[in-house]
Amino acid sequence: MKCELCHRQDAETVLYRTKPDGKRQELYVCNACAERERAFDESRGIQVAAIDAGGDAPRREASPMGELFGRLGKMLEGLSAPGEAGDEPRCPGCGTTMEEIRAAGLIGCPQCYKTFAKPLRALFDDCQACHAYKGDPLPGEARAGAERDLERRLAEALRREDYREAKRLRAALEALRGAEGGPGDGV
Amino acid sequence: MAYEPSAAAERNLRLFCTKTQISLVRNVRGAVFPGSMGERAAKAFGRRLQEALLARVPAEDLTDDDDLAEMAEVCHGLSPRGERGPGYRLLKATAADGETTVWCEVMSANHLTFSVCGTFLDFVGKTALLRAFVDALAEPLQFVSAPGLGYLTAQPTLVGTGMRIRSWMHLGGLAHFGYLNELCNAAEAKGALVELEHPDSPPPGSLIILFNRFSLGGTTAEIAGRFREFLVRVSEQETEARWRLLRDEPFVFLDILTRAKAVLKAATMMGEAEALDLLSDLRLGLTTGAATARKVDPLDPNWFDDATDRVFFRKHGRALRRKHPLPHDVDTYQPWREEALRAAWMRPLAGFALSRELIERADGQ
Repeated sequence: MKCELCHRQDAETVLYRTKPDGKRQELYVCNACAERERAFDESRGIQVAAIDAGGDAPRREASPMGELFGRLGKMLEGLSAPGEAGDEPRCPGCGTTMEEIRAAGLIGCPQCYKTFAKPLRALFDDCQACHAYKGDPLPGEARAGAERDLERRLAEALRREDYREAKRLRAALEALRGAEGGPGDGV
Repeated sequence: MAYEPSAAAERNLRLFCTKTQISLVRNVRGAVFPGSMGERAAKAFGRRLQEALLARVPAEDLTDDDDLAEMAEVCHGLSPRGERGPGYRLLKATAADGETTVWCEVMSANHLTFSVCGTFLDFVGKTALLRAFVDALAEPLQFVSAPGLGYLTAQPTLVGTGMRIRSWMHLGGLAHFGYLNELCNAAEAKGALVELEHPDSPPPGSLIILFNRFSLGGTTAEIAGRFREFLVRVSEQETEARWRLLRDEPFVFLDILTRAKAVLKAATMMGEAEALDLLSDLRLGLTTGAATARKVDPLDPNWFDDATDRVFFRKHGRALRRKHPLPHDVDTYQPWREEALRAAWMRPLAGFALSRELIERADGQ
């Protein structure tokens, strides 16, 4: 991709310009144009951030200013301009915001439980008696529990030198470990 | 001091609890919940999930049979049509006991909802049966769970065990004395909730749905046991209210029953709510022994369902359309409701008679 300003060099940097009216502009530019634009825009009170444009352009020897822009851009990558719709954090798994969860009463995906752990805890305060799962063994837990039990019995059998029992237990343990599926950690 | 239910309350629970539904909700690892999925993705995922389920469990697919699917919704408390996502599938399987039907809903609010519904009162036993059915699918289908929160669900009210028990209760006595609000408050305090369509007005037919509020912090058996204990308490209160009606207000009770009988017999146009109220009065009389009827069983789980428009038109709609081939909407055209009166609502009146004891008591008053 060519630089969107000079149209001669390959684009190496993404330049984000946030104007005083809140509008955001995205430009794919070369390092030289990025430096020039930054200096020019900042003199006019325009915020500028730049990040690495990615691998579609061949890597050239980057200028120190370009590197600085790259680092600054990476720091600001997750942030957005004030007043924009993307202010609220979104779940990386499904893109749902906490506000949407509150409005619909439905959680978007298992990842939301991790992303919105704190606000969801407050939500559980309203609709659940406690926060800790004390229910029946989960699939992975039951499996892990059975595995631990077999390991303990195998160690005991070896200590007793009961090799016939140890052989049987080892076979059972291998069968359990070889079975389809993993522990139920889920998220 | 431990609560000990009176024998009468325990015995009478079967009179008040018309049916119960137990559901377990599960989601599959590696996929967003149905509410956040696009339409095409949800349809494709629903089909894939259905295939995975059918490969492990022999089940009948009812998705494309609209009549059966809607009947199942009304009679077995499955997800309302309006809440079903684009990839919704409905399967009917049988549990390990060989007789209990397990309804498998794919892509309702969650990926999978398994439920059993019936007139049973052994909540703990049925829960264990359903859990065994669902647990057998845990390894191959890879249900999503977390150590601290249990099974992760789309609904925050179901996280943990993913369990919901709903009981349809006919509480004519408590409704007559205006105690339903107190019941709602007591239910909330005891970890249950009451589902009322219009919280400010008495529910049609004095029929309410009670369900467990918490799904986290206990095993499925504990939740089922606690919920049943609460229902026995409700049964105790309802027994007391009905006894009070018979003992203290026989004249009023007699009036309620004769009025219900007369209106059902004579009316030609009637709304669903009014019909449900009248049928509730008749059921109150039949279950207290204040009245008898030769041809009906007041403990029929479909006692109220048959009187609702949706069930009636599902059952008799085709015949009515043939008889009245008019371009009217079958659900709203009133003369067709008249047919409903004759076909379903008159049924309890066959051989209906008031008990001599009630009449003597009312005369004495």
